[in-house]
Amino acid sequence: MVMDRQQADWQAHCQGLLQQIGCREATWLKDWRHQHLEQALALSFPNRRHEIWRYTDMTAWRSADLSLSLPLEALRAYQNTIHKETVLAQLLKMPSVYRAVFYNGHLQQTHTQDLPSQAIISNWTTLLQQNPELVQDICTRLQYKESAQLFKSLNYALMQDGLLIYLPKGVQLKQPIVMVSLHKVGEKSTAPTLSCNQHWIYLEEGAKAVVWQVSIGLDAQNNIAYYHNVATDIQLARGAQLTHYQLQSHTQQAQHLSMQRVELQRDSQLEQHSIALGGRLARQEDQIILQGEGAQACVSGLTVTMGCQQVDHDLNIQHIAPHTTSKTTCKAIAAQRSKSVFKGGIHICPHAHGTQAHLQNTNLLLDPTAEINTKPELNIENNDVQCSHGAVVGSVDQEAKHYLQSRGLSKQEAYRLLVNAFAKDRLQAIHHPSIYSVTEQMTLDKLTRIAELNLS
Amino acid sequence: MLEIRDLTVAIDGESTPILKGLNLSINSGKVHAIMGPNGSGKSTLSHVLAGHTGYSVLQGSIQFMGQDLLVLAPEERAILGIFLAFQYPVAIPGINNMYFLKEACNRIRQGRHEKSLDAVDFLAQVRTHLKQIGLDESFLKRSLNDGFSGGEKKSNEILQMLMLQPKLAILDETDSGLDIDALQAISKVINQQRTPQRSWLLVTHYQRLLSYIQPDYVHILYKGRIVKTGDHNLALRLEKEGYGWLQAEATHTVEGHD
Ligand SMILES: Nc1ncnc2c1ncn2[C@@H]1O[C@H](COP(=O)(O)OP(=O)(O)O)[C@@H](O)[C@H]1O
Ligand SMILES: [Mg+2]
Repeated sequence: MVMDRQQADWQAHCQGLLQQIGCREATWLKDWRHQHLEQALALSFPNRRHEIWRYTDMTAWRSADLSLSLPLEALRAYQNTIHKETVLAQLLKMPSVYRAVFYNGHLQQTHTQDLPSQAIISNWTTLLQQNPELVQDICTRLQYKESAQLFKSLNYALMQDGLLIYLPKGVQLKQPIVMVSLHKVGEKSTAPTLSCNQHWIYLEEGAKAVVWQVSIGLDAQNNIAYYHNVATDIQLARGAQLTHYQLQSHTQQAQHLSMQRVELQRDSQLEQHSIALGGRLARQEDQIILQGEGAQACVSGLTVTMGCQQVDHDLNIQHIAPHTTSKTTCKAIAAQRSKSVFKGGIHICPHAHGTQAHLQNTNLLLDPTAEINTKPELNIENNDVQCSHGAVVGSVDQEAKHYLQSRGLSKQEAYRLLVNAFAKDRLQAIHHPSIYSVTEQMTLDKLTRIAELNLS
Repeated sequence: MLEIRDLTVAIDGESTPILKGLNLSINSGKVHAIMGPNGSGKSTLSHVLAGHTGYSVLQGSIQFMGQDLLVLAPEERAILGIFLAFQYPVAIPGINNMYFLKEACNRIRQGRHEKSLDAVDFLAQVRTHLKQIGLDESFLKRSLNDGFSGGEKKSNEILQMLMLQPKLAILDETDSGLDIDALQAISKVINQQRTPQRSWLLVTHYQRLLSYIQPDYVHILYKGRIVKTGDHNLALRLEKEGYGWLQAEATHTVEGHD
């Protein structure tokens, strides 16, 4: 009966959240939201008895007394904050980029000067006014794509804002698009806020873009949580190329859930780099669908956890068409009592002959109290494939540490160098210089904090 | 300079010793060669001198420049002037060779209360040494020993040695893996680096190295003990006769005691 009670509270709570959303929306959107809320509530809440949730406890999402982040509050807070944050200054200073900045889920500014005509970088709440049919069309297409998933349905029901990036045929952007998502708990708030974003990245035939998605939790000292649920839908048409850099540095209290789906058509290419540093519980679910012949996906990941953090990376790659390629290299570093979970699922369909799929997951466990769970899952349904996968969990190499110390480096310094060295190739895989330098700096800051713990 | 007495060492956590009461003293400015069959404990001795934590000293003492070496951490020994060129240098992807060399150099200089080298001086010194050992500058841009050939690893150890200016240089089979040109270049550098203040412990299998670097003493390490000490002629005898005769002599000695 306890379960029923919890379920009833949860349903009432979600319905309450939906009511916080503006009532001036178009009927189709209202219906759309209600329909997805119903769908979400019909699904049972994730339970650790389910295989996919075995290592991950989502109950905080149900038990927290969440309220939605409101656009006006976000605007006011953003204007008060913008001048004070150095990291923000650094991001806003980046030269030669297109930019969109969200604060607690709501768009605050864009910079799209010199964007080729017909290309779009805009948030959909604005588009709802300018071109409602377009938004409706995208939403309608989205909903039939996949089987219902609770947090995604919830995202659809409660989505507040998000970015549409659209590049028409043949448009190749020279500058990267930087999407910054800032999060901060309100000054006076005692209860956690929830923001839900829905981003769309659509590249038409032969189009090319570099997108950097950065999520940052400001005010790391605040011990009130915020919740962020973000869904991203990416379509790469024939021959399109997307380099997608991601960096999340949420606070140690944040609950962050990112669900991303990428569909690749013939000869299109995805290069994805995910660096995950923050969150009390941060979970990234990636679905990469190699739909067209010759499509290629290259996935690089690095997660660093400490304290009582948990970071999940749940990656699923489907090879549907022949001659598709995927290459995955993910690493994790876990210190103290933190937890890191990696699932690398690769599914090769019967028709996907000539497929190449390689996956490597390498992990560095810094303390015996930390936990790393890694699970490569291969499901191969034809014989004409080249596949490899491997998962390793190790600790700091004592021989290497001794070697460094024998050259005059202190124990702590040797440790720090070796931990940094482990992360290095994932950072160096980032080819854009200013994206690399911000990512490197944030990652090294975190690794330094971990090395300092080891010192004491 | 170095005084090893009755040194008995086992792998950490094990009771069977590898070194069984080893005695050795080395004076300033002298070159000592240690030869011995595989598995006799040469690398164990080298590692224990450098402070490897994987071994435990069950008995005996090591004094270096009047200090008890065994209580010091590896980095403290390095600062004091001990340098070990590893038999198997560790490859570490992700640590840049030049960055590491500079860190090591300046940590040690700080520890010795010497001025740190600035980028310009450092580079000038490294360039000189690279040339001496016949290495290309691109060598510095690579990751530490990562993907290096056997010979390159050994040369890199010598490069480090040249930068760190030790008082006691222990070269553990540095000659194996080097081709003849590299061996000659490195021998020449070592001969140049022989000073009245610097001592050497050359661990080698082959007489070959010793024909380039004339040792003052040659020791034979056998089953965890120094069983014979002589001059260069001892190395020549080993080259000719192998280690077989030692077996006979060792047995003979034991019988003699009975
Ligand atoms: N880390 C280790 N673990 C297990 N055995 C070891 C280890 N190091 C050395 N030994 C053993 O100790 C003995 C001496 O080894 P070592 O000092 O390397 O000899 P050498 O350098 O003279 O060839 C050998 O029998 C070797 O197998
Ligand atoms: Mg050896």
